[in-house]
Amino acid sequence: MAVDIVEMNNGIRVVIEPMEGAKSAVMAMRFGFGAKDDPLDRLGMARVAEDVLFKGTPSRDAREVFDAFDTLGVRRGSTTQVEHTQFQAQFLPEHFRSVCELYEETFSTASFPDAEVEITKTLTLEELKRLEDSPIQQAMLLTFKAALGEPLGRAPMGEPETLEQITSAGVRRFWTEQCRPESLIFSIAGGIDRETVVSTIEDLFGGWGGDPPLEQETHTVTIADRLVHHEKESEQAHIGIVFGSVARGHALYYPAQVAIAILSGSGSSRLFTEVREKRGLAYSVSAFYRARRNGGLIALYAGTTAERADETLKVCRNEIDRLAEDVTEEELERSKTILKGGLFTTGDLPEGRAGSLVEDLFLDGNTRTLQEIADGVSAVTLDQITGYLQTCPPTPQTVVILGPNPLTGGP
Amino acid sequence: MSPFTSHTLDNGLTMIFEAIPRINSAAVGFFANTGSRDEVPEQAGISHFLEHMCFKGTAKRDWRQLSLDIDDLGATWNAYTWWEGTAYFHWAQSERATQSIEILADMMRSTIPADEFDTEKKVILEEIAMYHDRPDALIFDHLIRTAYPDHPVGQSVLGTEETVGALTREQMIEYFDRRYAPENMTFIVTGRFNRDEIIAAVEDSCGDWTSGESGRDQPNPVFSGQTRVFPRDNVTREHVTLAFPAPSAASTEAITAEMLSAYLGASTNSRLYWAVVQNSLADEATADFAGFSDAGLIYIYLSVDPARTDEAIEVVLQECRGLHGDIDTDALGRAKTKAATSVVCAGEHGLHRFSQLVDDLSCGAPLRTLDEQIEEIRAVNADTIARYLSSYPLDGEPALVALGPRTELALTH
Repeated sequence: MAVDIVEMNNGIRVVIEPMEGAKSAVMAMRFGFGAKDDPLDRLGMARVAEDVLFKGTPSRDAREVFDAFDTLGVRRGSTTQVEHTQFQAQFLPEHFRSVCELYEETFSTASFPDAEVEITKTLTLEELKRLEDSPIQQAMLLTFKAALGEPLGRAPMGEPETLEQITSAGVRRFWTEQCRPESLIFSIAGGIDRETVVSTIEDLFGGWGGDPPLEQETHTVTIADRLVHHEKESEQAHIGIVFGSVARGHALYYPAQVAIAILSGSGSSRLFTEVREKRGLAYSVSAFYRARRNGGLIALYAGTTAERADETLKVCRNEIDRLAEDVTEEELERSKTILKGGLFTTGDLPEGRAGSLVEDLFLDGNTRTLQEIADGVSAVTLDQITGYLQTCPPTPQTVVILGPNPLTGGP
Repeated sequence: MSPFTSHTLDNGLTMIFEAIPRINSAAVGFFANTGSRDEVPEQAGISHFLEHMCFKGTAKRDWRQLSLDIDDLGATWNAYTWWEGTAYFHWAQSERATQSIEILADMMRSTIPADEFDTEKKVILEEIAMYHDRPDALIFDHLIRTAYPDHPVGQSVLGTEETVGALTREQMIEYFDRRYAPENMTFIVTGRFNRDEIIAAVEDSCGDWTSGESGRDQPNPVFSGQTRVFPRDNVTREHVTLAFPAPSAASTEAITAEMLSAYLGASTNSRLYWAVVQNSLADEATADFAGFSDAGLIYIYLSVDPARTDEAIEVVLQECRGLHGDIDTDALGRAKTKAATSVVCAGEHGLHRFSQLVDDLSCGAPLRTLDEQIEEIRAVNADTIARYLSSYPLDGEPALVALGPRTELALTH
């Protein structure tokens, strides 16, 4: 089925994928600002704004905003990442216009009440403490921070000292400055037609704009060469590794995805086989791709009891290094089958499509149909994998250990 | 007309089919009606360990061949074990379903290879260690153990370092032979599929399975309203759960318990959200219903500042007491509308439907279509909740567990 992109006069982009017979619809709304835009002394600003956004408008208090969404039965979510802030809603298609009206009202008139900003700040501080009790998540945040530095390695929650500095006036200013049509993408998939979507969004959001576009700084992805130990009294050592990859729109994007699938993500993949199946070193070991606007990276996580950390890291690194040497035709075909298999399952749901389309449009200005993705994966050859690994060798690397002991053997 | 049809093989293996015509995939798998509550205490964790061993070799395939053959299907696959049972599934494009059945059926006759047993035991011990680093997950084991101190349903799914460490292959073979019998298992398929082809494939792969036990013979769990504190100095927050008795998942009142939980403690815009989270007393305060085949709980989870734990618990207990005689029908209506949207969304998702059927089968609940589920949700109202609360009050002594820096709580009921 075709993917349709519409660009409105004020710069808002809308991508629509009607799915025949679907009874629900998913809408992702993504703004191109995030933790990278937090003022350095007020880290956490974008995330505070995302949360307080729903805590009142001139015509509704916080409860009334929540009640209005809930009356429509909307399943709502939102997230602040480093380069974007996204709001997502899953609903029955008959409520599409009402859902859009509510988001328009909050986006353009949110009042960011003082008391609500203070509550969100307090809760964010509590969440930062709770992060200590979720070491896998904590380890990955520390790994991205060590690997990417300022500003791409920022953790959206900010820090206790910088959260302290955030005021409601500051949040209001930040939101007004950042909430702009040219930075907004709507991605809608499910049981809904193109005409309804375009006319509704045009009607409600078409009047946005007027301010000159914000100047966008481009941040390149540079991976640091470092080994960091964060001491923690945990049972397991939580290991994070990061090295560079290509951006979403790069010609070697599909070879990169196949290379990662050879390394991780299935029972026969190399990390699972070598770390877990053969040696029983970890329950959880995986590598995954993360895109930034101007680059991509591969991150790896492994959790193992503290005394086995050295061996686990060694085995993981050996698998990363070996990838450039001996990928077989059989492994290549199997990894392609796995990647394509996902397109028929999670990839074929309204939330899967809305998520994939917004990511495509945001990162490289274009979108792919499921068939185009399948074709892109099918076309990957062994030579392209080799070419990819020559373009993006898995060095330098950032290695972070969160656990009781530093490594004894060194990197 | 019901979209569920069933079929039973001569050896007692039941098959359940649910067609979802829109999608191009099918989820297929087996539910084994055996979980942690079927274990003797000194073998705690054997069901879950066995689930892992089913991936480690059969008469036809070693572990490597199994993982290669599974991945050649491009399937999303997994397995999980809980109190009531163990489930294995593949989710892939419809054309792969019969190949998936052959592989899954082969795994259900695992040889539990001796040379893989100790390696996999290390993986389980890592999983236990990982769980210890996750207090917000670990605490539910403590809660169920506290609520049902004298019943096997309170046993930990993973087991402990000691029980898993001591398990032998012989014990596992004995358990497996007894519990993975065709009359104790169900085959399930949801999505788009050809029914005749599926029956032929299951018949072909499972027709020669030999009999064993089915079901279980246990008295109903008896709820105990005790408080237990698990001090941990390497945990930052105080993690608290409290639970009240509720009907079993098979009961017609289970849906009332679910709606009441959502009204009380959905993650946003619920009574606990406004009374606890929005008063900065906890970064999370949520309620949910946990149903077993013969018992149930409404439980609340809190992540709090250790110094404010007593205050937060007091507010939660007040909110629970406040449910008696004070239901905001508008707010209840909103919770119902949201639940109905979730049912519609799940109906488009082959794997969600598979898991829902596994849940219902494991608890002896009737299988329900999406429309029937929505009907059940709509039928809940302030009157049914009032009746529910007279049988299952939320103003008595809860089972309460705290895990974190605190060594004691100043509980006054």
